[in-house]
Amino acid sequence: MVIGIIRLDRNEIPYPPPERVIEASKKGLLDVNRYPDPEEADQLRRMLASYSNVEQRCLFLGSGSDSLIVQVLRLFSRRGRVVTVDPTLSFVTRETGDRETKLLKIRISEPYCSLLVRSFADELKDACLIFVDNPNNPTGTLLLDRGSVDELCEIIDGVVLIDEAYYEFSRFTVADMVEEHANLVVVRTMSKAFGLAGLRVGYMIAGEDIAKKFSSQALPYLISKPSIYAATEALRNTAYVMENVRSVLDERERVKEEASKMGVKVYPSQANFLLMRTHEPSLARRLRDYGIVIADLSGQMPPGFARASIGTREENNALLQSLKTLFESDEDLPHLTQ
Amino acid sequence: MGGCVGLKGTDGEAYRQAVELGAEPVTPKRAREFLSHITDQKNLTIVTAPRDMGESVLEAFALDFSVVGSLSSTVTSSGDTKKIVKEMLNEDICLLVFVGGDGTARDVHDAVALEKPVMGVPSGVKMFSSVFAVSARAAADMLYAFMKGNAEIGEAEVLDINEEAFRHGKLDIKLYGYLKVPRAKEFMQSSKEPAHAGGSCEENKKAIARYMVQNMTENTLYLLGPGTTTKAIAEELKVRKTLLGIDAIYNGVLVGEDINESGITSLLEKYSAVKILVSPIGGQGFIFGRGNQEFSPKVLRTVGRKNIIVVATRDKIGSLECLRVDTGDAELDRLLGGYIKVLVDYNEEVLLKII
Repeated sequence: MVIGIIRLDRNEIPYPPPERVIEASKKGLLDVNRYPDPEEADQLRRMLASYSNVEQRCLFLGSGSDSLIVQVLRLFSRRGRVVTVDPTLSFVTRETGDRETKLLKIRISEPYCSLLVRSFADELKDACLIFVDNPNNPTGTLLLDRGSVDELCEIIDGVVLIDEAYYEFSRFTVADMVEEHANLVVVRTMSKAFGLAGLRVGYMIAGEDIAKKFSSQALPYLISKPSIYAATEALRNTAYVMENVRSVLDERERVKEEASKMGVKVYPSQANFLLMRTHEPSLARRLRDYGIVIADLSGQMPPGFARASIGTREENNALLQSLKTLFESDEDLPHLTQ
Repeated sequence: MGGCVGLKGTDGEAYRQAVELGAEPVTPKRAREFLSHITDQKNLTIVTAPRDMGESVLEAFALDFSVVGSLSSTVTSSGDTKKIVKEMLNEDICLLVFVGGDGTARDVHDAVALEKPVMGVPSGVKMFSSVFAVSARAAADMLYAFMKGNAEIGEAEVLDINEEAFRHGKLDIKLYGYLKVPRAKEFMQSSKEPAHAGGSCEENKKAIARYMVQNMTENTLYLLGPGTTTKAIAEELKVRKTLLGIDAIYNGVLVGEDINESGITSLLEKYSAVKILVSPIGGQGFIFGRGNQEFSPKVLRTVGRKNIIVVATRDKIGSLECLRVDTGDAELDRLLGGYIKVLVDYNEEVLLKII
């Protein structure tokens, strides 16, 4: 019986931002007949640079990190060869999908632990751009360590684009390495840990080469006033963010443990979601009957894979209970993947 | 029904042996499991076969149905399956659901070919073909997805396994044909999901074909393996293609049709630049040794690994863990191993491991 829908398919944080952030956003609405003040946007850049421990000159704002990834892809991938991992975000495929740009995806296989850069050196060296989401979506794995990023930046003349959307959960970053590597770009977002997905605030930390080209192409007024105000306020006190992250990490490990006990294969994650595998190829579809929406990975990964975001404790309990009911009631699923 | 008595299939004489050894037919049980999940018959008209081939099972359920055809004997045969399926096609059915294993899939293929979509509910001993749902429940889910328009139609392999060899522990598989099968579309997927972009399976094949043809090297012999993706490439070149066999193309002209190993060997003596173009078997990932044994170890050694081109639709490649080879020559299998590029769309490749 479906009473309401619990969405655990979009890797959002389940907690709303604090009241002061919402109030700041409302304040931004008061004079929306005016364009955003460049000074206020600069203040946000300063605060994000300080939060990220990088120089402000290499930090750029965007309407969500997706828009920045797309801009970098469009600027640097024309008529060349783009290399990424498989699976990864679909829009990377779409955005490089013009007739002149070649796309090569390196399949990452179980145990989804790393991308061995040296093994693919021949494929990588003539790439105009390499994109890696780190941690990777949907596996939740950190595919690159600092040494691998060093190697990547040295192997190729093109751009190394790293998506750190889940940085606050993994606590792993290579943002500081843009000082050493002019061809490195790191994109991050305030949509995940900061809980501002609906306001679309992303930022990019770029090495010298990319920063130069990007500065000349940058558009004014990329972010709305309510978004600038809310993001600035959110950065004034990040303690609530870290508290929410801790809750998510605790819940992630609890869900992993409980689901594993039921026979679901749950992969280690460095993000706010879990990759799961069962012998039920329609797990996501079956959970819909219980009002739970998780990401269906059929057709993109071998049969039986699905991805669940970590919700509130109550939402996670509903997921676990639904899994339990589903498995207990189904004769077709006597043994799940171990 | 031969599984529980260790017969690895019940084609031919093995059926009589299975009965003598006390094997119980599994098919009615699986059919009942499937039907138990058909709880809503709105917009669903069921047409079934007479007696034990469907009617007797359906009678136990509160479902409306009609029966087509007739059976001459109480013991049914593969001929009955083919005959009834053909009669069902005359009833203008939208989807054919059968319960059985690889043997039944082959009978259904003989009668339907690519005329109508087909879905197999697994109940046989051998189910190497890719036309089966994972379980009876999954088949019921797929039926409803199909009815709601939430399924797209793609082709899946029907395989012919040599039962006699299988009973002796040897896997001797041939590609028998293709059936159209429904596949669930992804649902509620937002643009950020790690999904594969792109249109239908057919569009995907055409894009692969366009790219291949535009990038074919002149004065090179192309040996096209079996499959619908390689067929799409031949269609783009406007030459005939044997769906289950190997054809040879040189500078856009067909120079060998449905050729065997000796035919290939003759061509290899004539042409110095040669490329092999193959597509993996869905679900299993074999690129050599299953369904294309004409590419013998000798042929593969002559052509060389660097001249092997693998093509596959996104769906097929997405659902594979890896690619496989089983040429019967362990040393060659080892040499073929490692990463290889698979063309999955126009200008798009996936680097996948052969194990």
